[in-house]
Amino acid sequence: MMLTVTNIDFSYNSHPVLSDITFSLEKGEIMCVLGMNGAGKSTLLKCLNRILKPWRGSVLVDGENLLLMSQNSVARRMGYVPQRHPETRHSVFEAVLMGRKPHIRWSLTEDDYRLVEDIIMRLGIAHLAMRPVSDLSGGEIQKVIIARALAQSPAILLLDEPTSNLDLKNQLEVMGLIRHIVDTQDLSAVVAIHDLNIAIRFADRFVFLKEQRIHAVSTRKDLTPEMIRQVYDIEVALEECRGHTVVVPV
Amino acid sequence: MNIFLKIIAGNRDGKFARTGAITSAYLESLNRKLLLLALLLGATLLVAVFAVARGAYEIPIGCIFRALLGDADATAGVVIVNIRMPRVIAAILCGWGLSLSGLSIQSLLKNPLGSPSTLGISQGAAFGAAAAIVVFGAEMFSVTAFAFGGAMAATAIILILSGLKRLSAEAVILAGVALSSLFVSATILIQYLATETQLAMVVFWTFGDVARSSWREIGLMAGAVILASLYLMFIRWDLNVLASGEEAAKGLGVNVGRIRVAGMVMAALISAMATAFHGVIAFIGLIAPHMARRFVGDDHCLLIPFSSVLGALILLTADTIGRIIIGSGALPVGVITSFLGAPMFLYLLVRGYR
Repeated sequence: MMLTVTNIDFSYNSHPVLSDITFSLEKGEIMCVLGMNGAGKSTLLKCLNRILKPWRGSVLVDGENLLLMSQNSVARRMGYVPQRHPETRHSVFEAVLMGRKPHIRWSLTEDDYRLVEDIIMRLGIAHLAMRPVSDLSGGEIQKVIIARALAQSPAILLLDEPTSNLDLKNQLEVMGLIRHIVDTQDLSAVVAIHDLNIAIRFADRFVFLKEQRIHAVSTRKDLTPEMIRQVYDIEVALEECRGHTVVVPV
Repeated sequence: MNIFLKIIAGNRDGKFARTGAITSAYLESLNRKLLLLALLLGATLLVAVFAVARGAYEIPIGCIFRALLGDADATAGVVIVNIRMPRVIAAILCGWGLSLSGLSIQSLLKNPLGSPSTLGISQGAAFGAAAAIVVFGAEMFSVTAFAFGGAMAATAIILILSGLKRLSAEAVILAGVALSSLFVSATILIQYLATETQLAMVVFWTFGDVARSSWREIGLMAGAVILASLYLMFIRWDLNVLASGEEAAKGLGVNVGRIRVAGMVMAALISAMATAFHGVIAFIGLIAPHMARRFVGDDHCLLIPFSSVLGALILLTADTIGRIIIGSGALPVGVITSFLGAPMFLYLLVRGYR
């Protein structure tokens, strides 16, 4: 088991946000965290790599508890793609280089440059390398931030709403890219996401959050309309359309 | 320059054997910017030599070098070693220190309008120093210690407001305005209570001026500024990452709380020393880092050295202009930096300060 999360509790100013969260994830899998607005999806992600400190519980990656490590050691194991990227005047190359931060001792080495260059090529953003990140489109920025997370050389990628500001083409492209990375590089990914159809199309497992707790955990083939109805409070049907399962509100 | 490239880019020659075109393009652009840095350093040196040579007592350039070797005629030697050199070196250190202090504040609080003078830190230091002058006489240690106390009080309030209460950048600046006027009023109150001699000392001292520097003060300031520069270079990647947001920074392994407190204490210490030794010199900490950003963008590997050199160059030039061109040699440099800095501050506000 690559990632094992056990009994995580978290509250903001004594207001409970997550309680008793337990799930696990295998190598090569994508898990989508689903739930209504405010269900605690982003909070759960931030608890996994200690941006927020859970009150209780453990997060094991290959048997090591991240909650007992320094922030820097956590960052070597988990790459993080935040929901928003503020405007800075860093170039794309500089932005991706920052992913090496947890590994830099005093200065960058030839291997750091090689790795970053390689990631930039693989993600097809080489033509943007010297442009300022602030000049790019939403989809391009998202790829840069994914590249930065990959430069962390992590075992697990955490992505917070990676498709929320993108058009349909870019949504599919970015999620396809994440699927491809997970399949080819021996990683796992945890993705907080709103869009059920995108989630079903790309993920292997689902965690449904409701009222601070895990309401259900499911694989793609065990998914039922009933689960979705209970979590989102709407009637839906799961239909097959040209080989893809889609959620249709009814 | 090669050594510098080795330090900031991890490479001495500007290229690696096994990397491709993208890395080369990046290292080339670093190289170009380092050339610019060398030019600015050269310019600072030229202004420094000019500033030592010119003034009420003219000194030929050759004589300066002889004086440095202890081999000049008596008058020139005294003017150089006791009057001009301390002033020039103090201006360089003070500009360097205040600029780094401003850069740290801007980067750590993610507030482009931040600087020791816009957040009330310098005014806090000035209040502490004025209190020390009136209560303990003008003994250097107590003045510096009290200045640091005042600066730390302002810094602590700013840290609490911007960190814990999560005020916006503008709101933090407003808090700085409130703090500044509180400290200025308290300083006036102290002046009101002071004897005539103390009053003259406090008032004269409140003008930011680099003319009254002893070699001992210069030594202390140099030590602090060099340590601050090393610390900032050590956390340069943390600062780069912090520009992409606090959560992104934590996700990349930055201990945001620790560098924020350590960096702000360092910024407060430098501005307290600058203020204790030279009075309030406003806006250098705002102008110099912003000019540096114009040259090199947001990369702290370059921003730190550029801000240092630009701060030194601007303050030295302003002081030299005040001394030689405008007049009698007594115009405090703080007046000139305020005239430069206030319009810049307004410009940043209007433009949306990025």
